[in-house]
Amino acid sequence: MSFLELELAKSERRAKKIAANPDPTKMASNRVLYELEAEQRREQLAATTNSDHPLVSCALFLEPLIRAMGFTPIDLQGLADKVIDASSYVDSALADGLPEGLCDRIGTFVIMCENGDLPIPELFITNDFGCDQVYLGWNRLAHRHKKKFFCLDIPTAWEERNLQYVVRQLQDLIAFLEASFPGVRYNEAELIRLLDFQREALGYMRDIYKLRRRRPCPIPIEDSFRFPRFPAHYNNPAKAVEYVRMYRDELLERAEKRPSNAEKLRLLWLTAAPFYSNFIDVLSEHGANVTFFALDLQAKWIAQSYGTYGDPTESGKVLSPLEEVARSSFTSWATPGRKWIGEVIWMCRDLQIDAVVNFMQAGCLPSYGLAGLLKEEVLRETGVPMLNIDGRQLFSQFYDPRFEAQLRDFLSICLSSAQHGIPDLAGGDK
Amino acid sequence: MRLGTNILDGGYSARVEQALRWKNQGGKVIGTLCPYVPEEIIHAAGMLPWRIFGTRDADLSASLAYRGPSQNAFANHVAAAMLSGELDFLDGIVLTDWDFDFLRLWDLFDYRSAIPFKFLLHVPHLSSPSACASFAQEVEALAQKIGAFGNVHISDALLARSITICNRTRRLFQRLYKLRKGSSPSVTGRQALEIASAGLAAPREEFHQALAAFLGQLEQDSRPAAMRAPRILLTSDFLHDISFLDLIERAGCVVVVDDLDVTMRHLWQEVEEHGDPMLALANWYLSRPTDPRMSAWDRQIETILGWVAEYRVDGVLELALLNCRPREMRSRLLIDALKDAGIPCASFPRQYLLTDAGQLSTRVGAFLELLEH
Repeated sequence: MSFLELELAKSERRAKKIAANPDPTKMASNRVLYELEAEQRREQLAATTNSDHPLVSCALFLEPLIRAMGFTPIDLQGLADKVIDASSYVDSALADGLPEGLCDRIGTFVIMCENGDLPIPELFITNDFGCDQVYLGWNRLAHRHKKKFFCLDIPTAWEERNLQYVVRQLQDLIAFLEASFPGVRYNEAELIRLLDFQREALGYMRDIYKLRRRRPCPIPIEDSFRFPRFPAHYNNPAKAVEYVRMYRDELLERAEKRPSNAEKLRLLWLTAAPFYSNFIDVLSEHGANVTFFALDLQAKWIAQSYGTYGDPTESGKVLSPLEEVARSSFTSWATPGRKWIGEVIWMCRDLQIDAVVNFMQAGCLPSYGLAGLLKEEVLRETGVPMLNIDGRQLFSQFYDPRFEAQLRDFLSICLSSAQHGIPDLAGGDK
Repeated sequence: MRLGTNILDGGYSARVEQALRWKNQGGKVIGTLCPYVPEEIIHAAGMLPWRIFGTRDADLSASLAYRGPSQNAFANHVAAAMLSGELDFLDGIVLTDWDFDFLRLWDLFDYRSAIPFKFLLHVPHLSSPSACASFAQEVEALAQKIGAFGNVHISDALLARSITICNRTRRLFQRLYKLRKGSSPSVTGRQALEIASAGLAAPREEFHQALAAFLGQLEQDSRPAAMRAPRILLTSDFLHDISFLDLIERAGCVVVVDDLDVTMRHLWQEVEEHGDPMLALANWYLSRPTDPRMSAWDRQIETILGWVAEYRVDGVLELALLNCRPREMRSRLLIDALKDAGIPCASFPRQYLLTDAGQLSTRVGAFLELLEH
């Protein structure tokens, strides 16, 4: 079975299990999530044989537009994250000439496509949004397998002329898609519908974020690492919005019932999480809660709540649907450091953070390259100490037990320190 | 033939001396990091464009306090140079988002460097008409900022003059490269790289004089009998350490053409001298071939194949700078295309400085033996 078929079977199985025997200790909304994912995998499998509306690899901000044109998006790196242990792909990656220091997620999805575990999309819409290793991975697949590709250029500075430049490119993209695939037409009404859903879902996600400001934070660590996808990611966006609403309601309900525990440390966790490590146990041992996991664009979209579609606050005007998609392109988690550092400092203050853990997965150039500056600036501006800790994300055979030891040491020092500000830890910190 | 004059000395110290000499005469020196910064703009502002090379010091501990060891090796050496004060003589820097690693290097300069003028130039990954138009606006913004810094208005006429002058550099290099096409190249790969490196640091007009004189002599000299050594195309990025070329050519070959950001890519064809100069610059800088950070890898590979034919190359040697992701991710496609075309090729990783001479020498030697057989 292909990976998509395995994922479909897993999601169906889980949804049926919950429907047949719901566990009151777990969230009821999980059933809806698994149903959504199952429907998504069916849609993606069908798209692998549909030449008129094939699979498209694109950045998350483009999914509303891609869906509005009738295509099926596939998030290759998101699927790579679902591999329990990607170690089996390491040798294939090196044998295929992929660099040793490449981010695990990128190497994994490239090899999964090369091996046939994942379908290779017929179209790649590459861009320099966020991480350019993703762009390079897509470019490699597109060129090697002679797939269509369209490169979007996203400038670094968010200003009106650059917004209009991206809009012009989106118009060029629409023209390219209409010319390349017979019967495909841009449907603005559908785009507006999806943006409306996105606004609604973002509203619920922001409600969840506001919970995090409470002391103690009522959201347990396990739920801190869950990030609901935006509605256009799924083929049933109305149901996706309903899922986020249910998830929010359940979190709110649990928050009211959760006993006030001794929250000893409020942590901000950055960038990514090591999937195979027992770091959650380490955090729990020290009474540390992950107040917020600032993954990808959550800082800007959810924490800082920039104005969504229809809100003129940020731009001084109500944006058109394409302008809204263009605006989304500027809210990457990476970008020039001043923006990212500013967001982290903002979150530390807003959430009354005690300490930051910046997990730098091996090969992640945006996070590695900023870690030292980020730590110094956050400490200088807020007094909040940061642990820069690196590790592999998906390849467990590279697991280093010093990872958990460093985490323990940092948490112990934070707890016992009379003042904010900690000495550099030996071996792995910057 | 020896290069003879200081102006053509592309060594690290000589390049710094050029910059300091310019400053002593009251001029400003603007450091640039990659080939996408239009040096014409800096020249039009009356300043010296000076391509930054990384520190030659092997100790990168200062840099690694901010950057990881698995990041672009060149960028790590530049970061070390900045943090140690080696670049303090610069009056300004113009960096680009050549890739994400360079963007992070910009962040380090932005936060930690006291260099008075700093500008980040966004470079599109493609050369479509809309990308060129947008890049022209970026270049215009640079012109305005650097003009304000230097208290000079960069008019279209001033810029057109600078384009003409920089085009002369490109024409001189095209003459130099023509001499490498023959059966007995009168310029080694090492000399070509040294001259190109010198050209990225020297005052333009003086450099033209020296290079023209050198070319004149070369073109007059009688050629020895045809060389029997394998003819190599070398492809890499940010290869500034000339000792790499020494090592390769001493192994028994001649590098007749080099796909490098300081040579062919930087000196390929000329900027249009009529019409809107900003747009002309944008079109030229984005349309240059073979840089793996641009998205059109198929066209880049076609261009390299064309150079193989044009320079009658026997084999292609790729030296992939460690952790230079665009190169690393494109590498397999290039090697496969060369093999499909029946062109012997090899790809070896390298550090920024030549520190693993023994291993590289063995590998290059083995590749050349393969060519000979």
